[in-house]
Amino acid sequence: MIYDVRQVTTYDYGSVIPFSRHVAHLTPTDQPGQTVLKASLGIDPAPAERAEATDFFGNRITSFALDHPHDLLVVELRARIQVLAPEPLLPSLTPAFEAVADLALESDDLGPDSPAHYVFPSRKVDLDAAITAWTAKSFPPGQPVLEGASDLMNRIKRDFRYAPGSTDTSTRPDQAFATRRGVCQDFAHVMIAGLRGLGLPARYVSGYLRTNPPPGRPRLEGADATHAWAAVWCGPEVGWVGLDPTNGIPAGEDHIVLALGRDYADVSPLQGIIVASGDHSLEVKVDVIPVQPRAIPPAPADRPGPERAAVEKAVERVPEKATDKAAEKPAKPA
Amino acid sequence: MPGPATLALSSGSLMTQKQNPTPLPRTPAPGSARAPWLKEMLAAYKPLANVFDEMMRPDGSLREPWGRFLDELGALSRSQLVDAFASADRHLKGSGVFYRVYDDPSGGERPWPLAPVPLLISAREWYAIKEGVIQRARLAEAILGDLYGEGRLVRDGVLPAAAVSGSPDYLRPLVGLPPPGGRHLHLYAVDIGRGPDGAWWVLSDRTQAPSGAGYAVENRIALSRALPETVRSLNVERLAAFFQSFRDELARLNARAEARVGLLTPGPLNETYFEHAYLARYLGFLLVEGGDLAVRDGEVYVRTVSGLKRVDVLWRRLDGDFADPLELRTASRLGVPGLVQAIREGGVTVANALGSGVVESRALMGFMPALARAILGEDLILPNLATWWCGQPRERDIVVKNLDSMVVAPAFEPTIPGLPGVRTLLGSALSEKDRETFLAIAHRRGMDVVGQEAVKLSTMPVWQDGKLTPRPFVLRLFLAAVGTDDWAVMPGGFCRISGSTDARFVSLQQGASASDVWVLGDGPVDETTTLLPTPERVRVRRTTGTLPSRAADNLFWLARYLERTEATLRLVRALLGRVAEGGVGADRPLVDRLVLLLRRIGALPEGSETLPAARLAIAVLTDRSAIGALPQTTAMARAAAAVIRDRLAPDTFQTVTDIAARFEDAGDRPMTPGQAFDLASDALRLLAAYSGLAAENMNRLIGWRFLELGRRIERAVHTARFVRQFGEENAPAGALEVMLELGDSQITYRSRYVVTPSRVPVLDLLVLDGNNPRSVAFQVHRMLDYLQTLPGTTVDGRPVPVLRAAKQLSADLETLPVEEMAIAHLDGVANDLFRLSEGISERFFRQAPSEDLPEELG
Repeated sequence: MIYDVRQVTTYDYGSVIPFSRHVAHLTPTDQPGQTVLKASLGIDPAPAERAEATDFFGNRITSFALDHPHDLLVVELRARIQVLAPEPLLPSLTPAFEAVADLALESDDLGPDSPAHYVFPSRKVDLDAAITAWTAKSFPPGQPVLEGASDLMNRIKRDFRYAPGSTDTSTRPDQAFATRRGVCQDFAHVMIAGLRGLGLPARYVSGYLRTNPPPGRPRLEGADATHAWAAVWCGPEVGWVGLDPTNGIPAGEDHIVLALGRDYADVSPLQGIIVASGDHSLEVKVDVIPVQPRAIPPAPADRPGPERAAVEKAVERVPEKATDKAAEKPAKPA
Repeated sequence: MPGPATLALSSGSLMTQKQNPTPLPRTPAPGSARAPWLKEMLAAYKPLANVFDEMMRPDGSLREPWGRFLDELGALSRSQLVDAFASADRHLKGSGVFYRVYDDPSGGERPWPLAPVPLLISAREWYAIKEGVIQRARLAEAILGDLYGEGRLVRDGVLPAAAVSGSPDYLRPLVGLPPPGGRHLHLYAVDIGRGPDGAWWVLSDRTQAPSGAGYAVENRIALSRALPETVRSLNVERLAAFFQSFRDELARLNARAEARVGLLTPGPLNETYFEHAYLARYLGFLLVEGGDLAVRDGEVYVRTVSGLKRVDVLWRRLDGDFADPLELRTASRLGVPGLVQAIREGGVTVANALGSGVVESRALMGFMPALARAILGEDLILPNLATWWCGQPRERDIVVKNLDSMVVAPAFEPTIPGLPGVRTLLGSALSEKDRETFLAIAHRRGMDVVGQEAVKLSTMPVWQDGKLTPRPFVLRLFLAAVGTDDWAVMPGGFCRISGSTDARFVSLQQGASASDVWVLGDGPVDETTTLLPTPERVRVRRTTGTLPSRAADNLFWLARYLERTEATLRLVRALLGRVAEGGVGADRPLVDRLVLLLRRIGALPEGSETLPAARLAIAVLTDRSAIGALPQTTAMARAAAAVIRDRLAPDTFQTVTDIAARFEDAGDRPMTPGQAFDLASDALRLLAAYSGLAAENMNRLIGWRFLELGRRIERAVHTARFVRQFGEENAPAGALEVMLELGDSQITYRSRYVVTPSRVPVLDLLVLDGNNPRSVAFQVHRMLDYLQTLPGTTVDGRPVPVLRAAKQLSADLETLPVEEMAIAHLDGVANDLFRLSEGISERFFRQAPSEDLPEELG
């Protein structure tokens, strides 16, 4: 399947920002089963500095800085990506989870796909005794690793409530676990915490999911969302297998990978530091449009960016010291 | 001997002392004629059983070089020695040496706990230690080079990948980037201890951002002032040469002559901030926080009031993980956004390189002997604390089997994941429940834990209540990189002494003390080395032009908040003075106007509209919610002062703290109007004390001008406000007196006019009179003076906007006839002042890069 993906991220600062610096994880790369046919990242206003690099995990990162006063930042990804359906796997044929845990520790590979990076607690995923104990129910002794992980995924799908707005990007896995609710990022983190608690390598995948409009209705522009799921390492032969606990399905032809890491912190789509005192608003619009496989039409013509909102700024009469640099609040994938 | 006279003779700093090159053999033969008080003290000294004591053998005889040392001390009387030790303490206190204790509710700074008896190391022993720690430093550098470079150690099976990847200090964004400057480690430290068999053991490697070197210098200065003769006759090796080579090395990496070496500190709240400030001064580096630095086009700059200045080398005292909020720990407020990108582009050398902390993990300890053989082809000269990483099945079994006799510890994190209370603990000391948990962790996630041999550390004598007592210690040694592959070892170190006889864990955070470390030379030591500049050597030095913008910003706001405090206090006093005398009555219109003013400056809390005036005055002194009430205003002054503490005299800082403390909990008790009046007067006196101290103690460099600018602009704003409120033609009776009182100009007025106040002369005095130090015009003229002497206020001979605005306002006030001044004119003045303040921020504090013209750099 070939997709046209468009993600427009808009920061409205509500006041004029003299300088800002950002790092974006917003350009997809080739993965097993995924080929990026073309991709471009547009930044408005045009940055004074811009550098592209590949991070440790193999993701494309774009560092940029804006040095002219601005009150709005728009970052727009346009990409055409081909995704192949993965070969079906028989979970019962994967190695026992205990053996996988031992193999991970024996790894002599420090490269980005090495299981050794994904067994330890990471910035957003602490180990949690309660999550580990809950996870262990999916892993009776000798359980093939993918069978256990799939069962865990299905239990999260069954027992957790998908509740947008109930959590934010700083929600810890133990909080989402305690309330049994959250969004895709929380479910992926809970799953990762549980697997790592048993010594199993698990990683975080950010990306997009193709969604179908309700029958008889046209696709709404910007109706899609960013998505996230988990991947578990199933030994050197099988390697990494993506599992989507939000939907209770293995990652397949509908899943488009944007970036990989240990958790959300490694792949945060747009990380920024600004000098500001006020609050700001953030809007993310995503379109994932399947391209007719027979006749591939040209990419949609450039649409104008969102209109700039006029920002009125009240003049403070009792001046206070400006606050130090503030981190921008990040977008949370669904 | 060291009475005050001797102290005065040696009062130069350690580095500059010169003396007789050949010390006379003035000590008696060992043990022959020891002073009776000393003999008595030694007889009472009892080494612990089965523990090596540095000074005394089990049979009570003394080890060398302690005998020689004690003979020196024995030349003093007991009371002379007590005096000498007390003088060392006084020196440290007088220099403001402190460290900070985390988790202390009062944010506690503790005076430096010097244990006055030094640790002695003979020349022969030192030679062996030196060989061992240099080897260790070479090994640590080679490991880092591989882990962030080729990765052969893992690929070849010397090191499992998980023994590396588990470390939070394995900073993945740095993998594959060769460190600018060629090496990862520039300052390496190692903690060693002596086991019961008398051999020294390496306890841990310190590769992240080792602390203690500055405290070692302070300890040495204090002790060599206390015991100058002893230091000299025992040929104690000097520390200065070591720091010189460290400084020269960093200066060498500093590619451009005009660029600076920055010492990057996490800030005043850090445990060892004193040391950062001290070392920056001692070595001539620029002390900077993350907020002082900016990355532009892959290069690092410090924001100064003279514009952006290049920094080519950063000596980092901030954990690597915190150094870049964009690419490393994203929640960090301490770092420099874009620093990793600058390293990627080769624009800055960071010492030690980001990610060098990975060598500190306990998991790696167990592999050190094998790593030494694989990398260096050598066996370790100094044995390593035996460590078993439970990420391997065989090692895990050993730990589980011998749990009771081992120390259990986290492999990578500060505490064991899943056992949050446990940092390091003897296996036998684990509770039943924790033991079970530990075994479960070892089984399920063995990679998170290690077992370590429980070594009993040796003891040294500690002076306590006039007696010597044996206490265990850990010795930290420092090595500075020289050239591409060599190391200089500091002859001495930082010795941390346990507060109890438990020899296992020593940390200053747990209330231990520290002592100086004396390496005794075989002959007279070279004393020509000094860190003072010589004509042959150009010294990296801080110039007045490099006042960081953040420091200037905080000086400016410290002054503004204090002046705002003063103005508010005057309003409160004026208000109380008019309600205290038997009800408000005829003064009602004045009282209403005072309340209105207080409300305008945000000094009154929400919902206070119905309170009587006296209650309102008390609310200004006590309310914690209103932004302009004194608890908040004075707390902001203190916060600003804390950031620039190294630029304020200790007494000045203390005064600011005292003022804030007056209002901090004033709201906790009921207060009568009389008490409120006293509190306001008391605080005004403290403010006067502050002004006096600031005027007397601060040098008149660039920083002083920002303090003055802040004070002047705030005073001008308030005076203009007072006049606007009380200076109308139809103002109520008594308004002119209130205005003079608020403007603190009653005496000036009376000395000039000797009549009851009349409106026009009062307005003239408070607004236009350039000779009245409280008038608006006076403040504006002064600001113009300061602005004219600040860097970058003219470009191509033309004033920049902020200077132009100041000139205009100054001329306006100078030429305006008072008779023609409408009271509404003051609104325009207030607007101009507001714009002036904005202009100062814009020009000096914010450093918008597009405004930095090339000719301003350099």
